[in-house]
Parts: sequence; structure tokens; C-alpha cells
Amino acid sequence: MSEKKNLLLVPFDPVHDVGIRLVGQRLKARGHRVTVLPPDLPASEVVKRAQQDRYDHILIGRTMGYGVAQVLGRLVDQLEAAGLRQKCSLVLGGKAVTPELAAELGFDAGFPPTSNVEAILAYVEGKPLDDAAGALKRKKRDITEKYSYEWRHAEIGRLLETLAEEAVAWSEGVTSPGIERAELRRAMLEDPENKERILADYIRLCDDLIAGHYRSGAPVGRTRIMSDSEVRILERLKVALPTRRLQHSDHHPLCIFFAGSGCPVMDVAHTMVADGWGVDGMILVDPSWNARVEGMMEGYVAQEEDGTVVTGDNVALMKKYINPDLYFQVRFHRGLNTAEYSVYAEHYGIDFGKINPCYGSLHGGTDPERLVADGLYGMRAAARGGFPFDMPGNDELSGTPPGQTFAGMLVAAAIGRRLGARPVLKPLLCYSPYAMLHGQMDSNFIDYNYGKIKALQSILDAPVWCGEPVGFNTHEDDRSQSATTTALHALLADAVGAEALTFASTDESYSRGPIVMASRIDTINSIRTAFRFLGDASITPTAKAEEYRDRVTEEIHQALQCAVEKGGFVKGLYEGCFGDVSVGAKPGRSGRNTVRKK
Amino acid sequence: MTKAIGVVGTAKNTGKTTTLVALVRAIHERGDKTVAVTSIGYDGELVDSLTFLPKPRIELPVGALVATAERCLENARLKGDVLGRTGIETPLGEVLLLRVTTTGRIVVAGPNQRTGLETVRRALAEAGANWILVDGALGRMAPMSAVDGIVISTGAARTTDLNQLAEETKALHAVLSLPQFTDIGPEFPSQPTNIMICGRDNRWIDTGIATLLDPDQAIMVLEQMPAESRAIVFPGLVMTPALQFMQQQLQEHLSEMHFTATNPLVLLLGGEPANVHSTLKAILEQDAGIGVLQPLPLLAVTINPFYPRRHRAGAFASAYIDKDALREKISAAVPIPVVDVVTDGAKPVLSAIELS
Repeated sequence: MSEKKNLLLVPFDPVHDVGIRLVGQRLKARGHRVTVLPPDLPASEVVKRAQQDRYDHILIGRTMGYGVAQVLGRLVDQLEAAGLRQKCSLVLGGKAVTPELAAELGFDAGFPPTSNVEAILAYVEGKPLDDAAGALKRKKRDITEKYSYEWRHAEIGRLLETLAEEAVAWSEGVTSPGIERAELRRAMLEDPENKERILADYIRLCDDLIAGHYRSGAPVGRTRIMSDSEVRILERLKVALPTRRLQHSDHHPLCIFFAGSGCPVMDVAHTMVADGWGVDGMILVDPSWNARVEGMMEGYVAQEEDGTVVTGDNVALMKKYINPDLYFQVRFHRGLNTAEYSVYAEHYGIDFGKINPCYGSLHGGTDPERLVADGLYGMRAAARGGFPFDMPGNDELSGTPPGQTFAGMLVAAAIGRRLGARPVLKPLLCYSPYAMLHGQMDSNFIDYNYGKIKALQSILDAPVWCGEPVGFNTHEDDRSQSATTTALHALLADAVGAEALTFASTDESYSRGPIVMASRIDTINSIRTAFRFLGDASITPTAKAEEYRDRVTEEIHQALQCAVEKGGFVKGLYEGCFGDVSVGAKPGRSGRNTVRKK
Repeated sequence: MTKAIGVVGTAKNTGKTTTLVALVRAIHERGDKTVAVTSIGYDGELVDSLTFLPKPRIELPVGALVATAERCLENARLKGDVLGRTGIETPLGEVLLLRVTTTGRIVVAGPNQRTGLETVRRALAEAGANWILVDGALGRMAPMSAVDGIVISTGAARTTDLNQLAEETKALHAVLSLPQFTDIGPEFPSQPTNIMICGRDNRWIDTGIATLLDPDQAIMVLEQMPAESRAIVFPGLVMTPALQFMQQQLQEHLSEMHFTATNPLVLLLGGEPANVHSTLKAILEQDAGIGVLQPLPLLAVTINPFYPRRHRAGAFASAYIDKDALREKISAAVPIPVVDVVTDGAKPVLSAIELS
């Protein structure tokens, strides 16, 4: 226990002395002797009071402004001329105080109001500031833990079980190049000494583009391999630790952001900065071209397009430098490499996978049969690896109504459940084209979003993670508006009881280039502010929400009945049960006819 | 012998750093003296930390010495050899000593109080500095009791009212010109902490009171004052109203008494220069003497017509008063060189320093 200090606190502001008084309370609680002067005493009176006892530190609280600096400088001089500086240190705190300003005014230390009190305590007690003291302590938890995964709607549950059973049985008898490559990749990871031999088989299963990368180092599209020295930049990167949560009440959702700048080093840097601002996790956005090509690259691959190429090396790099307290998700919800992504996810201990055969095939361009085969492989990896996977419902963005979107999502959930995995529902909070056409969101953005999610929750007891990102289609080309709409949707996510939400930066709706960190921070601050504002209060939808819930439930029912009638999930996907061209859904072509019986 | 000169501003943006930079350049051009730079605040930043208007950067030539806080080295453009550490802590880290090897710009943040400045001065002298320039900060001056002479930078940023500015400059000059009081006697403590009174028997009484802050403290001092005291020494802050009170109480008893401050700064910090000056004059009128133990002469005044004009809440724009009118007014107020370093260069200031 350090010795107790004798402290004089001087609220030098004519009005605002709350800040310094709060600091005084903390100091007193630590056992120090604290004398707080009345606010707004003239300088000479402050000097006189400072003479009256032997103080270790004099803490002065003052909001900065142009004329204020002169006054404070004069007070510092007077305290020195009174012989007090030799005995005690002078500390300045208040709005707009920086160490530079404190130095100019002659103080020994300066603390802005955002300083955590730990820093002030450390200074007063003469202890070196432990970087971790006062830092936010996060603990990752299993967001699926408190959910039973029981069907709450008997009839719909039965239909889903039928579809899931059929799909699982079917998948056990088939394989694909993606699955074969995934198995080879798994072997290479588990047995690195034999990698060369196994790789030869792997390459044979790749498209020419990727095979060329392995055989001759031929460049792949707009990618390049980063040098070791570029990657080592991360060793020198130091970012301030977070000191405050985004959430204000415990039930406020976790906040996850997207990374995927194209450069893995940049992604790590962005994540470290976002960590410092209090986000809870990161989703790695991978490129769309990778979904259409058989085979994955290796190395520290960077590219000048949307998304960061997923390679084992890139994932390992991110795992190495990202705060382990952050959730880290790798997506494998579409594409010909779905199975192999899941191998990496399992191998590197990723926190969440992402698989949705319905969205991935009807809106992501992958052939339905192929994606169901590979997707189930991924779900098995998730079950084995003990990590949950989510199913994004971004189908709605193409115009597909939530009923069909969620039917597809629920089939994936049912399958995952059956395979022993723990799926997470990820409905999109958005201003959907369907709602634009049919008017459900003319009055407000709350009722329809709320109602549709209640439909989901009335069918399956599973966690909801609002995505992705929240507020999709409500962002305009304006930073303030963008940040605001995201923040409001964050409140909506809380209202529906979501465990987490994904948010976008203020750049994302119109960025014609890379997303800058400052734009992310705009949104992060807005979310934090919204949560602080709402706290334990709530958003209440109108009675329309219940109507929407019932209607969406019915639509889900119909879509599932359709699929059962057509003979199963895969057939249902091809034959429009989960959406057809009229609502922007179309079975993808990548990987068509590549599934074969084992 | 090392000479330390403090560049003190009467307010922020009066041209202290411009003056300092011009002095550094002039000294360097002469070629025969090693110049050292430090600051009692934080100087050389790109934009003003309060008004966000551009500020001069401190560029130092090869061979110059500088004492600045560790964190200021991180973004320094100049390169130098670290000669040593001073053990003096600031909000920006420990103050280090550097000899410049590649010219460039740097932000200077140095010791914020007199004891620290004394340490830095000694260290710079040991490192070979001939002239040490100490940049002030805002209108702060207390640590400057560790220097040998003062240059004051003043101008429109202090006030755009030229009459007021002239009055103040005159008052500053008067107070900084107070003669040295030498008749202390061997019994006087070398570093008095309290107000000391000397009776006719030449014995010094320690009043136990460190400062003269208000009439209460003045009364406590007066109560201990024997009849026919011949001198009183103020080691610390003297607030002008308290001094006035004392003068009014003593009236004719003041004659043949000597009021002494350890240095002129303890008087100047007690009130507006004009008020300090008039109070001292009132004391002189009673035939009392006024002096200081340690003189701190004002060697030159630099003038700056610039001021930041507030043009809407929180925002400032650059503005200027008539610089010829400024020069005329201030030159008439003081008998020492009045220099606009931008138009006249720093040589006139340098000459004044040399003669001191």
C-alpha cells in the first residue's frame, strides 16, 4: 500500500466543479487526505489556502479557453513565487487539457476529462502508470450458452427437422473438389513435414489461376505477396488500450466491425485501433473473386480490391496480433472454397464461422448443390471445433422477403443443430427493397425489423446477432447521418434482444476507395453515445410489429412447406421455394455439377 | 562566463519565439559563441494549441545546444547527440541535453520552475554553452529568476490600446530596473523563506510569513516590525494590494526604510505592472528605498503588431495594428532598445545583451 498523500483540489472554474469533485471522491476512497476548495476563488486566495498545509499535490480543475491560459499561467507563477513549488507538484485537469498545454502553463502533469482516473491516481501516488491499469477488461463469452435451441413453433419445427434430416443424409453420400481440397489442407496443416507431397494433389484440384500461383509463383489477379519487412511493421505498432466499453447497460449487444481492406497488415492495424475504441470483435471480409475460383492461395497475400484474401498465413498473422479478447470471425458463407475456409477456422481457433447455403447460393453466386455439400462440411468443422457459426440474411437486400430469407436461414440452423453445431441467427436490420415496394417501412424503421425478428425468435430459441451491417440501405452520403442511423439501429438491436450487432463505418455506403479509420471511429462513438442515452430504457414498436411477426411466420411456413414438397433443401433452392428471380434470387453457377457421389 | 537571457512575453502570441529564433540565428552568424536554447513551457509547435493559428517553429543550427523534453525528440526534424539527462520531469518526459548535428526544427519543452532551470543552466554551461536563451511561455516569468537578464516581447496580442501598452512597458522597465540592495549584512540568510525585517540594531527578524498576500498577512508582518526598522526583505510573492495596504499603514514611518524583494519578479507577479509601479512610486515618495537582492535587468523590448482576433465563437483570424505607431509609442516609453525583429533583425537585441 503506498503512503497516503495530502491533496488540495482547486475547482478553478466559475461553474463546473463536478469533474474535480468526482476525482476527489476517488482519491478519498483510496485513503488520501483531500481538501476541496470552494469553486472560483481568486488566485491570491488559492495561494493562501495552498500555504496553509503541506500538500503533496495541488490539482487544479479548469475548462480551457483563450483567456484562461493567461490566468492559469499567472497562478502557476504565483504559486512558485510563494515558494510552494518546491514542496508540491501542480496538476491540471479539465476540458481541452493536453500534456503539451500543461507543459506550456508550467504544470507538472495534465489530464483531459477523458483520462481514466487510474492515470491520475498513478500520478498522485507516484507510481509508474501501468498501461493495463484502467484498461478495459473484456472477457469473451459463449453467446450461445443460454439458448436451448428448442423449437418454439411445433409445426415449423417439424418441417425443418424433415428438411435437415434429408440434407444431412444426402451430404453424407457426396463430395466435391472443395471438400477434397479441404481434406488435403487439413492434412497439410496437421502434417507439415509431408506438405510438398500433399500439395501436389491439392494443386491438381485447383483452377489454373491458383495452380499457377503454386507452380510458378504467377501473380493472381490484383494480388501480391507482402514482404516480411512490411509484415514486421506490426511489431512496432503501439496503440492505446481501450478504457471504456461501448455498452452502457449489460444487455446492450456486443459490437463487431468489418475489416477487409485488402491488406492484412492494415486490417490488423485497423483492428488494434478499433480495439482501443472499445469494439468487441472483427469480421474479416474476404473478396468475391475468391468465391468463384477453385483453390486458395498461400502467403501474406494483399490485394487492391474489396476484401482481404483469406490464406492460412493471413489468418495466423491476424490471430497473432489481434487482442485475444476480441471476437474474430472468418466468413465461409459462399463460394467454392467454403470447405477449406472452415478448415482454417477450426485450425486457428476462430471464434465464429459464417455459413448460409441459401444466401450463398441464391445471392452469392455459388451453385446450390455445391454450397450445401461444402456448407455442411463447414458446419461439421464448426461442431468439431466448438465454435458457433452465423447465417446472414442479406438475401433481403436483393428484394427477397424476410419469410423466404428466414426459411433458408432456419434450414441451415436446423442442419447445424442436427450436426451438433451452434448456429447464430443473423437477420439483417435494413431498409429492404421488399419493404420499399410494399410499404412496411413507410412509417418507421422499427416495426418491420422488430416484427420479423420476433418471428424468428418465435420459431427457434437461438441467439440473434443483428447484421450485417445494421441499418443497411439507410446510410446516406453524409458522415453524420451514417453514424446516426447505425447508432439508432444499434438501439433497435438491443430492443430485439440481440447478443451482438455488426456495424459499418460512415464511409461504407459510398466509399470509392479504402475505408479510413476515422470513419469507423465516427460510428463507434455514435453507438456508444446511443447506448449511453438509452441505458435501461427501451424502444417500443407499435402494434404493427405483431402483425408483421405473424405474417413473416406464415411466409416462413409456406416456404418450408414448398421445400418439403419439392423433395428437400437443395431442390427447394433450385426451384424457388426460398426466392426466385422475381425477388432477386437466382441459383448461382459457380461450381455447378461439381458435386459427385462418394 | 555563461550568460542566460530569458525571453518573456507579456501575453501569448507576442513574438517571444520569433525573437528567440532570430536571436539564435544572429548568434550563430557571429560564429564565436555557442548558443543553447531551452524553454519554461512548450514552444515550437505547428499550430497554437488554443487558437489553431500557425506558430513559428524553432530551427536550430549545427553546434547549438538544446535542453528539451524526451517526447519532443520523437518528432524532431533536427538530429543531435544526446549529451545527458537532467532528471527533471515534465508532462512530456525527462528534459534531455542535446547537441545539434544536423540542422532542423524541434519543439522545446523545458524545466517549468526556477530550480529546474538552474539545473539546466548549469548543465548547459558545462556542455559548453556561452549564451543560453530561455524561451518564456504565455506571460509566465517566475522561473526567470534563474537568468541574468530579460528581453520582453510585447505587442498587440497583449492589448491593441497603444497607450495602455506603453504604460505597461514603462512600468515593467521601471520595476525591472530596481537597483540592487547591498546593505544586507553578514547575518542575512542566503535563501530566506520568510519575510525578514531588520531593526536599527541590524539584527534580522524572521517573521515566519513567506508571502505578502493580503492585508491579514500584512498586519501579521507589521505587528512584528520594531520601531525604526531599517529594512524589510520579501523573498516571495508580494500582492500589490497587500503592499499598498502596508504602505498606507506605515505612511511617514516609511522614510529611511528600505523595501527589498529578492528579485523584481516577486513584485511583478503581484499585480498589473502599472499598479505595481504606482505602488512602488508611492513608497518612494515617502522617502523609502526600493531595491532587489538579485537584479534582473530588462535589456531590450521586442514588439509585435500581430494579434489573434476572435471572429466567431471559438475561431480566430490573424490581425495587425500599425507597426510604426507601435514602435513610436513604445520607444518613447523606455530608454532601452525597442526592436521589431521581423523588420530590424535581432542584432540590436544582441548588442544590448552583449553590453549587459
